[in-house]
Amino acid sequence: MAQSFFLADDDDDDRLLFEDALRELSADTNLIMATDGVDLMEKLEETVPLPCVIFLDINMPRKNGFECLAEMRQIEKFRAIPVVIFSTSNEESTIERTYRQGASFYIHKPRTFDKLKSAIRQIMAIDWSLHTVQPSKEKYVLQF
Amino acid sequence: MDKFYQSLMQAPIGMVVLRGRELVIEMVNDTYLTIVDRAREEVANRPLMDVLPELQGQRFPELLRAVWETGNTQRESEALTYVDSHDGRRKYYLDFEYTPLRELNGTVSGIMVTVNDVTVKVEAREKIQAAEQRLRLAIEATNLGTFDWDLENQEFYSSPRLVEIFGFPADDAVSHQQLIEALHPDDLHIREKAVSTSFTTGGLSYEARIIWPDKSVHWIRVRGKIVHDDDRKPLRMYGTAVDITQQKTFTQELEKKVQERTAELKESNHALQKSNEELAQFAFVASHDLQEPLRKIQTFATRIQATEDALTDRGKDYFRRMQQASMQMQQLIADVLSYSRMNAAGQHVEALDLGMLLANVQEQLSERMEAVGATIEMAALPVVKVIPYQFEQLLTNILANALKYIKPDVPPRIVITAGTADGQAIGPLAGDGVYYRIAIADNGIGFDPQYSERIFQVFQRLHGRNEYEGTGIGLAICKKIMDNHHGFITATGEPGQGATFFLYLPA
Repeated sequence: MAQSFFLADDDDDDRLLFEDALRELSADTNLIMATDGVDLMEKLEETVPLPCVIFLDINMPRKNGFECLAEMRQIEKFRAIPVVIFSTSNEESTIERTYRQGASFYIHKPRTFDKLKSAIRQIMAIDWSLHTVQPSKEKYVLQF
Repeated sequence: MDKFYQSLMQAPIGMVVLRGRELVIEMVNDTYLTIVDRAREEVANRPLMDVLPELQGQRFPELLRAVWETGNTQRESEALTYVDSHDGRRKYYLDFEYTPLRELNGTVSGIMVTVNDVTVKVEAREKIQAAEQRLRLAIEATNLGTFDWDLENQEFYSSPRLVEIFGFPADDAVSHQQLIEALHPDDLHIREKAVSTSFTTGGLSYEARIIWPDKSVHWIRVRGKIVHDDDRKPLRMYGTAVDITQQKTFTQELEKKVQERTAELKESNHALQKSNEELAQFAFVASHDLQEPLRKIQTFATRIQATEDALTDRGKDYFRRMQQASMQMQQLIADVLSYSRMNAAGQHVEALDLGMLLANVQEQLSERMEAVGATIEMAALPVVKVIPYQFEQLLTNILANALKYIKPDVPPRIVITAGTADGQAIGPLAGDGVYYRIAIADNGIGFDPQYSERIFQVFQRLHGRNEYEGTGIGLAICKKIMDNHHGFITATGEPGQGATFFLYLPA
């Protein structure tokens, strides 16, 4: 069955680039995009089956990434969905906080399209059934 | 009779027996001869006035006559007497007694003179009195009131000035109790404590307010000293009191002024701190948010380069230059961000072996070092208390500079030494203490000494961007880090002769 991804990002340039990169890598991966945290939580509620991975921006209006993470960890059916943080920030405090909130990986938004593609490719290659535990802190931030 | 005579002759009191109205010296003892400084041969059986003509004009002849005429004993104490001795006129104080000697029929036939020389005693007392007089004048001049408190009998003497200080007329009889009751109720405990302390320390000292009979409030300062008997039992307390109202008011005014100024200073400090924080916050937000659009420009540029095959070579060159410019901007933003984050507040400080830290930095720069064939010599370095990541950044920046500003065809050589320096030798801003001094010398292109301060300012570059890359923030970050550590950074150099950076850290 085809993978399905969620992307929550308020920046439409980033959504466009993400979609372009994903399409170049895979034609049949399902991508659902949300424009902020509130939109994400609403769309998650309606989506069946649940996505394999959520790419989550941190700095968003209405409901930010931290709040979404916290909320998902509260709701039983969302608790197990892997979350990949996708942020412009490389602030240690942001990295630390999202790690403690149980995100699986942290990607600092790449500056070239090729690197963006490699990042998505790497996430697509993960067999999440083997990744039921959070990776160690050293492996949490992915470098491109 | 012989025995009596002998004891008279040797008595410590001068004695003379005078016979007849002529006052012929019938008998005289040695003590008397010593007082009048005459030899026995000179005086024996001669009239007194012939022997001591200097008595003429003094009061003695008259008194002697009075004994003859009245038959009454004449005596005087501490009578001032002048005697012409062999070495000039001498002054005496004498206690003397003229006793009539009578015949059996009661008529006076002679006079017995006894003389006691009390000169030493009187002069000593006069000295004490003079000293007291001087002291009293001095005390009056200082406006001190004095008191004498007999602790055994609870008698209290206060000088007129003391009474005045308490607001009473100087000649009023004011009791100790009245003086104590004049103390301000809120300051009563101050006196009580001072008095009880004085019984252990022997000294009394306090300042308190008193209320005058006219209800005005005055400040006094009281000092006292306890005199003990041989068994260390306190006998008396002597002391002084002075009105310090003016001084106190002045001090209070001054304190108020100081408090006002301190408050103003605090406020402007607070405002300055706030504005600094806002500035840092602004730099942080601005540089953080600037990265976002820049990243997109870079990403879209790579998209166009990758996908638009129809671009001319010139178009491709423009895009390459655009990429170059955005790379520079990216570095600039990163450096400004780093600069704005280099604060001292709330940072973790730990004792760090500088040698190990440098080895670490060297390791990170190893690729670049190999590329240019650089060598580093390092002396033993001290362990210093620093903010670890900031000092790592500092050393990285300085070494990176040494590896960047190199002479073509000369393998870079960096020599790091350590020592100490006296604060006063460093500059006016340094404290008095001892500082560690780390010197990092290179053999690169050096710089014109006139720029030795400018290189530490933000965005100050000495070279065109085409010669050497850089944002002009690296050394400004170094300076800020040294500021955070209450240290200093200086540099010396000559064009073509290499540069040396000195780091001073409080030891």
